[in-house]
Amino acid sequence: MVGEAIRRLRPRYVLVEGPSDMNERLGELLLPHDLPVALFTYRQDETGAHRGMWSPFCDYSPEWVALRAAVEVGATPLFVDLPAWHDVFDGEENRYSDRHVRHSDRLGELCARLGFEDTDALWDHLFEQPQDEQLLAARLSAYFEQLRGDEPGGHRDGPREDFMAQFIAWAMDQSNGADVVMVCGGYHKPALERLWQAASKERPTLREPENARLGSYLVPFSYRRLDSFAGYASGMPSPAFYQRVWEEGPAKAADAMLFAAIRHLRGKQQRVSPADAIAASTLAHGLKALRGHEALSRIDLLDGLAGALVKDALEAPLPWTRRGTLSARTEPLLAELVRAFSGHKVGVLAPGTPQPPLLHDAFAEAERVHIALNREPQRVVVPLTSQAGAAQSAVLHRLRVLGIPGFSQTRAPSLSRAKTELSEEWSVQRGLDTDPALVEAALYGATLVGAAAAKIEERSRDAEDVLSLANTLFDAALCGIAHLTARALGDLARVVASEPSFTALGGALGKLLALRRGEAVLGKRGHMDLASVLAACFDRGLWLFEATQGASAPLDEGHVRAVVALRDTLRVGPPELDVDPARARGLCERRTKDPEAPPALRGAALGLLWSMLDENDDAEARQKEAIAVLRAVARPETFGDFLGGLFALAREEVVRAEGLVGTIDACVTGFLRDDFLIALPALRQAFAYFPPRERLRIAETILELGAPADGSKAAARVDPMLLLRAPIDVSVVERGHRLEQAAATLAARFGLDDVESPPVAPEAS
Amino acid sequence: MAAKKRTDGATEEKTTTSQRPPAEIIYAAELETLQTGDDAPRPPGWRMSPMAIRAFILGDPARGIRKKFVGNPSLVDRAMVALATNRGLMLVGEPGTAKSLLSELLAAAICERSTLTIQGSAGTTDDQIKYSWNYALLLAEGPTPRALVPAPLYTAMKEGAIVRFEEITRCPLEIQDSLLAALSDRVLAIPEMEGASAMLFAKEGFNVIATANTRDLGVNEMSAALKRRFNFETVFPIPDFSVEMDLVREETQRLLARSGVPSIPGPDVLELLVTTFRELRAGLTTDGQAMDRLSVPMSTAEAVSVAYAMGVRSYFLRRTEASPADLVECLIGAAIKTDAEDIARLRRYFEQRVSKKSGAHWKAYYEARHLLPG
Repeated sequence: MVGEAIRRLRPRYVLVEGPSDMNERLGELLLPHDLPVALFTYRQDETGAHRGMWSPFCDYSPEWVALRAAVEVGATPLFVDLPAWHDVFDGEENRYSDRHVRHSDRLGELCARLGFEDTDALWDHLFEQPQDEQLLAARLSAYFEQLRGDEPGGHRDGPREDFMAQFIAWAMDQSNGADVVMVCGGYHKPALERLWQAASKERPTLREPENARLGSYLVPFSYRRLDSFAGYASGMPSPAFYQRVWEEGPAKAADAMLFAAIRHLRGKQQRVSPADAIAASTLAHGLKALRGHEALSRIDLLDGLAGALVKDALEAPLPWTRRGTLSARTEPLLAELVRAFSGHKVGVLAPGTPQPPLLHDAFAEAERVHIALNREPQRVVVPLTSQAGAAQSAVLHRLRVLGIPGFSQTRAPSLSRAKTELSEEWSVQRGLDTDPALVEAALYGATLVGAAAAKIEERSRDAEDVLSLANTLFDAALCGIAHLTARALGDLARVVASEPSFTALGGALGKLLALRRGEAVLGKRGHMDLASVLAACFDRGLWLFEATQGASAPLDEGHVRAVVALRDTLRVGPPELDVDPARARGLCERRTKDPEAPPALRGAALGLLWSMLDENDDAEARQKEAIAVLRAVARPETFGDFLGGLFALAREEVVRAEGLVGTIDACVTGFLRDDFLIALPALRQAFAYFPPRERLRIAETILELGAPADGSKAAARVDPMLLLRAPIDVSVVERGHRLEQAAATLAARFGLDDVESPPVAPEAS
Repeated sequence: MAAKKRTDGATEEKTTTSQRPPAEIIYAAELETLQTGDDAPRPPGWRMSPMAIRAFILGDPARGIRKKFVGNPSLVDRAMVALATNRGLMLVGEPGTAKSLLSELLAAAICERSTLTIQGSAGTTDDQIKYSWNYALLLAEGPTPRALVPAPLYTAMKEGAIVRFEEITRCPLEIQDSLLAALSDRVLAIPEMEGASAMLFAKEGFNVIATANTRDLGVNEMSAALKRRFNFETVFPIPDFSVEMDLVREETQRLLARSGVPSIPGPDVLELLVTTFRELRAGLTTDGQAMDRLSVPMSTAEAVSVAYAMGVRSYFLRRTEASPADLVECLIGAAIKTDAEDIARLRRYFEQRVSKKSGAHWKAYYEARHLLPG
C-alpha cells in the first residue's frame, strides 16, 4: 500500500520514521543488500554506560518499501525521527517495537470483545486479509484512532512527534505544493496530523551529546532475531510467514507455509503423516471459515497444525495465544513449529558496506591495555592484583566470551586456600580468522563491552538451571559488566528455589563462593549482592540434600562436592550470610543416621558436622559418635562410599583422630576375603582424597596399632612406605596386565566387552 | 473454567424436581434465543451454527447470553472445528479445569442433548458403550432390533448426536479401542444381526467428545491408533487472578446457600485461599519467586470446595466468620489429602513464602501454620 501510494502520488519528499542522523548515509542503506539487515546505533557515555538500538528492515517493512519506492519515482527519501542515541530511546532495544499496542487497554477490550487472545491475532484478522485497498485504509485509520485516541505523546513519544512534525512542516514548505508522503507507525499518525501545521518550518537539527561515542552501522540480521517469539523486543511474530505473504500473496503463502512447516518438522525427526497434513489443512480451513477469513491467517494455520499434530496434554498454553517469548515448558513440537514460522534466513550485506566499528574498537581496546597482537600466538600472563592487569583480563574475557578465535585462556587463577595464584595466563594472536569473526560479532554491538554483554545476555536467555546461570554470572563478572551481573543474580534468585539437581546446585554454589572470594581478593569488577543469592542457594541445597534417597546408591562426586559447597557457605556463615548453622546441623544429624540415605551422603553429613566443630562442641563425644556410626555402616558394599563422603569433607579431622583410623582398620580387617574384594574399589577411591603425606601418616598409625601390645622391640619395624607402594616386582604387574588383557579380549569375543575389569594391585590394610 | 458441576442459580428453582438438570434444559431459553435468527452456515447435522455456539459458550451480553466458560476463545473455535471434521475431540487438562463443563455445553449446543454420556472407569464394559441385549426378548425373538438395548454410542450414531466419553483414560485400553471403528469409519458393526441392521452407519452430526485428566493414567497409555483419531485440546487453569477470585466467590456462595449457610468467607480469607492455590499451582509466587509445586492439582474447583468446607465449618461448628486458621485446617484434607511430600512442601511454603507477605490476614495465616499435621 505504501509503495502504491508513493508511485501514485510521485511526491517530492518521502519522509520515513527512522534515525535522521543517517540521512547523509542513506546510500549505504540503499546498496543491494540481501535482507533482513538492521541499522545498529550505539551510544557509549563517559561513564561507560552503553546502549544500543536496532532498526531492523526486511523486504516487507513499510519503511524499506518507502525508501525503495522513493528512489524509484525520483523523490528524496529522508529519515525524520530522532536519532537512536537520543534520550527518549533509553531502555529500548528496537525502534520498530510495538509497545503501544501491547500496553493499550482499549485494544485489550477490543480483543476480548471479538474473541482474540492477542493483538497479533486481531491485527491479522482485521488487516492481513485480502481486501479492497480503500476499505483497508479506512479500517487502518479507524484502528489507530481507536488505539491512540487523544492520548498525549508522553515523555517518550512527545519529543519524537514534535521533531517529526517539524520535519513535515519543513518538507511541505520546501516542496512548493508538491506532495509529501510520510511513512510512520500508525500510533503516531493522528498526533502528527494535528501537530504539523502549527510546527515551525525550519529543518530541525539536533546537537550531538558531548562526551559520548556515537555511531551507526549496518549489520546482517536474521529472521530468528526479528521474531517476537525469540525475544529481542521485536514487534512481529513469524517473519517467514509474512515474507511469503509479501512475495506470493496470502492465498498461496498459507499453503506453502503449511508444507514448509511440515517439512521442517519432518527434518527434526517428528512424525507427520500425510493424514496429519490433511487434517491440519482441513482444520485450518475450517477455522478460516468459522472466523470469517478470506484467506488462511497465521493463527488459523498454527491452530490447525497444533490441533492435528499435538497428541498429548500440553504443559504450557499454545505459544501464539499470548505475547512474548516461549515458555520453558512449551511442547518441543510447538517450539519447532514456531521456529519454522520464523524462518532461518540470515541477511547479507552488499559488498562495499562500511565495516562495523567493533573491529576497530576491539583492537583499540587491546592496545589500550597493552596487549600486542601478532600473527603468531604468544603467551600473556595477567596479574590480577594490579589495576592494569584487571583491565587486561576484562578485555581478554570479553573477546573470549564473543568466541573470537585467537584468544584463549590457558590457566585460570586459583583462589583456593591451598594454592593461591592470582594471575591468569592467556594465549593471544590475531589470526586469519580473527577479523571475520569480529565482523560477525558486530551484530551484538559496536563496542567490545557492548557486544560481550549482548552475547552473554543471549546465552542466558535460554538458561534455566542454576549452574548455567551461575556460569553467566561468572562470565559477566569476569568481563566486568555490572548490569548483567545484577540481572543474572536476579535470575538465579528466581530459579534457585525450583532447581531439581543437587549436583547443579552444588556447582552453582561453588561458582558463587569463588566469585565472592574473588571479589574479596581482586576488588570489585561488578558490584553485586551475592549474599542473598548465596543464602537462597544454601536453602535449596539443604532441601535437596535432605531429599536425596537411595541406600545403595554409589558415591556421586557431584553430590559430595555440593555438600562441600554447603559447608564452605556455612563457614562464611552469619552475620555476612543469612544462613542458619543450627538448621544445617540438625539436618546433617538426621542424614547421618538415616538408613535410607546414600552412604556417601551419610558420610558427607558426618564429615560436615565434624569439620564444623566449634569450641563449645565436645570433640571427644563427636569422635565417639562418629565411631558408632562407622561401625553401623561397615558393610562391604557401602563402607568405601561412606568413607569417601566423610573424607571429602573432614579429611584433616580424620587424620588427627587416631581412634577413628583404628576403627576403620578394625572394620576392614573384619571383612572376609570376598567381602574385602567387594569393598576394595570404593575404599581405594575414598583414600584417594588424602595427599600422599597424609596417607603415610595413616599407614604409620595403622602399624602402631598393629604392633605387639607388650612393646617388645623384637618385632621388626615395618617400613610404612611398604604399605603405600606394594613391593611387587614389575614383572608381576606386567603379567597381571597381560592376563587382564587376555580376559578382556575373550570377553569381547563373546560380546561381553563392557564387563568391568577387576582391580589389580592389592591395597594395604 | 467453572467448578465442575455448574448450574445456573436463576433457573434452578423452576426445575426443582431434578437435583441437577442437564445444560440443554437449564439454558433452554438462551439456546432458543440463539437459534432464532441464526442464519449462519452450519455443518451437516448441527442444530446451531458455530458462530451461535461460540456466543452460547463465551457469552454475548448484547443478547443476554451469560458467559459460561472462562478460557481461551480460540480453544472453543478449535474444538468446534474439530467436531465438524471427521475427528473426535479430546479435552485434556488438570482435574477441575472445567473440561466436562465445556464438553457438556458443546454437546448441548450442537445436538441439544448432553446426556449421551459414558462415564469411563476401570469397570466400563463394551455393553455400556455400544449396546446390550434384553435377554428375555433375545431368547424369544433372537437378535432383533427390538431386543437390542442401545447404549450412548449406538444412540448417538443412530440419531446423529454427540456422545460424551468422560475420563476415557480410566478405561482399560481394549475398551478405549472399541471406539476406533466408530471414529474412523463412522460405522458400528452388530455381528449378531443380519442384513441391513448388521451395520449401523452414523448419521450426520455424530461425533465424540472425550475428556481425560493429566493426573490419572494420562493419555500416554492410549494407543497411537486412537490418538490419531482425536484432536487434542489442553484446557488450562484460569490465568487471571480476579477472574478466578470472582468465580470462587460466586460458586461458594451458591453452594453455601444450598446448605443453608447465609454468609460466605470474607474477602481476606478468599484472597488467601485463591493466592495460595494459584501460587502452589504455578510454582511461582505473585511477585515472581519460584518454589516447589504440589503434586496434587490445585484447581479452581478444589479451591471452591475448600471455601465451601470452610464456610460450612465456621457457620455450623463455630458460629463465627471463617478465619485464616480455618483455612489452614481445611487445606489439609480438602486439598492436600495425605501425601507426606506435599505436606512438607506446604509447610515450606508457609515458612518461606507466607512468612514474607505483608498484611494482617497473611500474618494470621502464618501464625496458624502449627495446625498443619506432622
